[in-house]
Amino acid sequence: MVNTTKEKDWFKAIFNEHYEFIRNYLYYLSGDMEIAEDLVQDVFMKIWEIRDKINDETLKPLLFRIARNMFYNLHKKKVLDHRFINNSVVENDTDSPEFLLEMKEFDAKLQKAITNLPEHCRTIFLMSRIDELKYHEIAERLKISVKAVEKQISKALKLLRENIAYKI
Amino acid sequence: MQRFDQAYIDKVVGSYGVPSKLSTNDAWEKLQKRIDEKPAYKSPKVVRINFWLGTVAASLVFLFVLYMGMFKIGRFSPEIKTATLQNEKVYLPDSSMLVVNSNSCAKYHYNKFTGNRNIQINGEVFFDVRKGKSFSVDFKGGNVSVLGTKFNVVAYSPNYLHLECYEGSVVFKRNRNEYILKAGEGMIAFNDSVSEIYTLDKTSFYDKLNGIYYWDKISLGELANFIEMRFNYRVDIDNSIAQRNFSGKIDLADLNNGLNIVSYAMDLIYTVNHEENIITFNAKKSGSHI
Repeated sequence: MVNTTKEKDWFKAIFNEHYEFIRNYLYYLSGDMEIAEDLVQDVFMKIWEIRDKINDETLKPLLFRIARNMFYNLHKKKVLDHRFINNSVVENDTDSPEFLLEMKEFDAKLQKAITNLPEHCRTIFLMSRIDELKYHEIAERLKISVKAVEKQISKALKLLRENIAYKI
Repeated sequence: MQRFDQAYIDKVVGSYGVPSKLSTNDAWEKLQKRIDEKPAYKSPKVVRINFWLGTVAASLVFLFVLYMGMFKIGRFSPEIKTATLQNEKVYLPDSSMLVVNSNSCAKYHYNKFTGNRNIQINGEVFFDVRKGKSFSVDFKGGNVSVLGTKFNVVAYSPNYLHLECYEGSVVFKRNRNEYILKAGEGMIAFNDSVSEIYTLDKTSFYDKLNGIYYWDKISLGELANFIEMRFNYRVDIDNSIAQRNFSGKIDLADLNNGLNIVSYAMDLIYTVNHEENIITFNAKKSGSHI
């Protein structure tokens, strides 16, 4: 980085590109948006501090690694409680009240089942489904193989199906 | 039940969003504020030491450690202290001998690495030094260094130092001046003045071991000073007689003997207050007796 303006432009670009992914990743890990939004600030603060040493090619995995380490150092032992916003449940006149109730119950059980997934499995599954990242993009960010991503996602689906079926 | 299959789960999860409270823009503003408030970060500078500079520095540290190990490390022996008219013989590990005389103290340090010997004294100490590495004696008002020799140092106070060398030679340092005493020579430093080097009586060495002292023109003031230190008495002496010189032998193995000799030779009278440890010398008036 040659001068401050260039540094700031570079920093804003990477912030815009990665902010939501890192925040979501931290939410998948913590199940607490307050923690996720605080930590994501710390992650980018750290990136700003070490900007002189950053190689753009390894930036993505670095962001995820910093985020993971910060979470482990500060909040690992907290009890998880994910509260995702379900955009598929939209009340309208055509749905019966029974159907809506059933959907809400299902949603609560699904969210609970997601929370109960193993951590690695859960974050990969949610990065794929919520952030809509392709398998190779997840693999790049978490520095794992595409095969490992596939394996974790099918494991997540299997566990969720079993869990939901058992509870329903 | 059928509708909650894997495809349905996938569909629902895909519709999930995280319950964020800050938009990306708000988060950016917040971050900017934090960066502006935080003092500018300076990445720590890595100082690369020049290879030769590093080598020199490492060598200096090594030499310093070696020096400390060879010359400085090690403790002095416990202090050897004597009472009035008591003397104590001490042998160093190299079999050099010290006789710590009346009202005196000494402690020594023998360096096993170098063989150097260092003695700190206060009072009168006789030395019989075995030949070897450096042997130094430190005392208030000066120091003496020797190789192998026999000598006696009286150093009760920095104002009265009395050296006699019986064998070999010693170097006496006082106030940046150096005096070399050879076998059979002695000298006295009193206040700021230093006596000429005088020749010792042949019997001086053996006499000294028996408490017999020989002086060639010592002022009564100096002599009184020595008696004070050796016997732990205060000696009051009239100014009119303090400058008188005494020459000859005095047996100071016993206080009364010594005082008798001095007063007889100098035509003085003395009184001793044993309770308060005070000796008073006065000029003899006509018709008075000791």
